[in-house]
Amino acid sequence: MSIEFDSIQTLREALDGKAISATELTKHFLSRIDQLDPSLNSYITVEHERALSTAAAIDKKLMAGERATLLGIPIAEKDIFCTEGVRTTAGSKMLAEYRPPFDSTATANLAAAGVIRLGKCNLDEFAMGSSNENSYFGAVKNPWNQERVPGGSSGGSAAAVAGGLCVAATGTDTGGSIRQPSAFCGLTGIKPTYGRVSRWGMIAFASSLDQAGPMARSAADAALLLEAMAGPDEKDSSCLTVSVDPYSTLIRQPLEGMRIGIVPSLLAEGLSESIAEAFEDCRKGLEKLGATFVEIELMHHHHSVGAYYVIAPAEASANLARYDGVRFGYRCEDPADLQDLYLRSRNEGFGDEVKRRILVGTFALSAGYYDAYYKQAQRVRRLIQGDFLQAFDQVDMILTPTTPTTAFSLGENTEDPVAMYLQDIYTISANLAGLPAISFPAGMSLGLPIGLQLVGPHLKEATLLSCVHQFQQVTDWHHQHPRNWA
Amino acid sequence: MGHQIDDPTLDRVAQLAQLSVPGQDREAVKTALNDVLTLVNGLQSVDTSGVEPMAHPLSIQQPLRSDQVTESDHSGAIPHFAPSHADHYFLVPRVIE
Repeated sequence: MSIEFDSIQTLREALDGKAISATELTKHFLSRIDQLDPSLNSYITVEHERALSTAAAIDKKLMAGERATLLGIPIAEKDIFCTEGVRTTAGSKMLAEYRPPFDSTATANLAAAGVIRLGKCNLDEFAMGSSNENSYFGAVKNPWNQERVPGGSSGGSAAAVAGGLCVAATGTDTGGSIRQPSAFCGLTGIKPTYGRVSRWGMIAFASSLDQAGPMARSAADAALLLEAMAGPDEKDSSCLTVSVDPYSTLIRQPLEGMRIGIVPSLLAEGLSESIAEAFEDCRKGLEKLGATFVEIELMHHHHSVGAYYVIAPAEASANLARYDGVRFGYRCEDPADLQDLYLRSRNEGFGDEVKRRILVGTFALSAGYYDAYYKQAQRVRRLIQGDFLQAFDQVDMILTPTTPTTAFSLGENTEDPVAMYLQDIYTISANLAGLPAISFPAGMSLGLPIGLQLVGPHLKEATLLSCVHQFQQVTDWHHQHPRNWA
Repeated sequence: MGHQIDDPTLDRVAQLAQLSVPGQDREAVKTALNDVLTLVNGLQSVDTSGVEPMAHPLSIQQPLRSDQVTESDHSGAIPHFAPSHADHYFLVPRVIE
């Protein structure tokens, strides 16, 4: 196996044992990006010089005997995390030239842990999308099949990891944007509990739903990255103050005695046959490892998509009001007056899907409709969370599919926003309830990966990671890589 | 309750959102928005009497920090992020004649 698909543990040993230097490793990935990314479009910005100078500094540390789990590991960041002095676009024309004056806390935490950032990954504009076709910087292709989408909104991150163009990547997840692309690209991606990772410097989409997390080749790699990204942060008042569990140690916990919930109504209609089969195989596999399965019901789950498409656009319409062409970001040419400046800057700077969601959100918050839409959606949100909390009295976690189908074709859903929204039917409820959820590879169908999801109680990331890690000890789905890929 | 977005509603919402919907896009935008409303209108059938609206997934209180200056003054640097600026000011087209 080539080093671009090696685990962090394997690379750690190679770096510590001086079998390879951080500079050599970085050059290897940069040359793969230069050679292969033109066909994927997974990076918006590649930071050749900066990555190599970071690597040189890390090599000195390694030579001096410094050791740390992520020291010298090359990763990529979703281009929604602010990076000091380095273009941060959110996939939008609005921020095409924006160079933030600071690093996001997640970025700073990873840098402090010693990672090398190779560049910034493509995404759906302002993280709004499920296919990465809404980017101002062009669609991203799935390395498993370049006629298919990689999922979204963290599609560039997923394609880059799956294609061996970085070891792992960061993503953000408002309604499934880490988990759905992880499923489409054969990765392990975790959306932590709301507030586990600081949102400081993460460009806002829907503030009560947004959460950052890692996208990696395995639960073991994801555990190492999450350990570094997560933690209290005074700069984000919604960030949890409790200390971070040692995920990379806790993943060794056995599955014996774990009770896993299954929701029969989620497996009924609309789920592709191959995913239903993979689900059954996974269930049997987890049973062999000692887990027991319990049927549960989530009474209001089928209202998740409806609640989400009121709440997320409402929050987005407020968050995106800041892009006015005055203080930062895109401004139209020759505005006639201030009103013209606002209107044209926003019309020209935002793409169609972003404008659509701003309009929906503005409608839901407007006088006369606020109670019927926004407040009602918030009440349903509480009922959805209540169903989960009740279920967790009986079970330790819940197993569901991540997506109804494997990766769909480019262009397949672009004309029908609602069809695209229904892609997130299994993932959205965890965001509404603020729960941690992980997607992991559990099968293949017609050359495309299948992902399944585990949802857990608040702050039980370690339970989810250890379950997937135990599953990955007896399966090799996570070791499979795109075959027609260099 | 099945609200629909008609032309006057679209104009009002677009104005509130500081967006404009050009003539050739109007029908497509209205259709898309009404499709979304159809998707979310199912929420109206849920009995939520007595349920407190949930604005935030965690029942945490807003933490307070001590009243100390933690950041230095960036007012000189911030205008440089603006598309047009002079001295400490953001420049926009003339508002007062």
